[in-house]
Amino acid sequence: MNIQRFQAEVLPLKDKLFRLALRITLNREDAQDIVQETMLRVWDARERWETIESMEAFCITICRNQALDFVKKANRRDVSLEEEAPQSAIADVSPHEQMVRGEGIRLVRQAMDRLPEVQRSIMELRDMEGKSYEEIGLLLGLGESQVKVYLHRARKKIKAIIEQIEHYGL
Amino acid sequence: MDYKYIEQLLEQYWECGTSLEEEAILRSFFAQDDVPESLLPYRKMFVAEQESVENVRLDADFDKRVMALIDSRDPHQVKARSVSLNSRWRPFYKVAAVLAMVLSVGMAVQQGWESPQAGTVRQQNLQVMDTATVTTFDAATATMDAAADTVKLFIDNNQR
Repeated sequence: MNIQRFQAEVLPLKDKLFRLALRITLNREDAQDIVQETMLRVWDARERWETIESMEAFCITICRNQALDFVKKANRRDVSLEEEAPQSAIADVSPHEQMVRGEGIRLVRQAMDRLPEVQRSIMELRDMEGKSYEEIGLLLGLGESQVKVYLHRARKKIKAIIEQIEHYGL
Repeated sequence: MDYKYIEQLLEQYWECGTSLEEEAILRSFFAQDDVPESLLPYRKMFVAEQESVENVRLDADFDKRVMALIDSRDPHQVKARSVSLNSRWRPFYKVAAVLAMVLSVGMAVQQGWESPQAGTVRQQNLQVMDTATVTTFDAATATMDAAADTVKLFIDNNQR
């Protein structure tokens, strides 16, 4: 019974949790380990499942705390993911332009990774997971207005980076 | 084509004044290839975010690994295994053997205390051995009967 519920409600959250953990650790392998540990912790807490209002929020909170603990211990911050942009996103342009555009995207991604952790996590939850300000506030233990302030700062920095790339080149 | 609406939405987006639905409109707009030159720079951010959603995924091996770990740490899980007829009867054999041994020793000691004369010890020992053998056989038979009843009851219950 619990196994079925775990497979139906917890396992499908793996990608979401992975993105969130990656946004904090900035390292794929560490993020994967954190998601695995999160899943096991959620399983170990199965006696409490009935009292949990939202399984997703429960998993996200555990994952985030795990990732923050990890970063605190390992003191690994501001490490670039160095992921390559897939061909589909920069198709039908010349190789030179493709390289320039790909480089632009890489720089924006790098700028996103260099944001303070709370701003990175809020951007992730809002822009990639489509969460409302209220939901983000509950997950991060912040007020809605605080969430907006952090997100505003994050978007402002990204906008500045984009305009800098545009005006001064790569 | 008029992109004023998109430009307005984008301005609101930087100020955190857009709703989730409006942000979805912006994402769909920037996901297409036909983006005007003036808005092209901002496409980078939406593409970077979209790529993150598409590329940052865990494969099916991860599921298998997690399920195996869960399986290994669950102490209450009952696993089915095949049991041979011989191993099924083994506990009854053990009980019968132990009972036989205890009864033999008990009878031997009792007989020894009741008839301590040295001259008759050998004869009495032989007698004790006979008695013990009979007793052991009786005990083993009784145990086997009880075990057979248990198995019959088990099979009946299973059939029901």
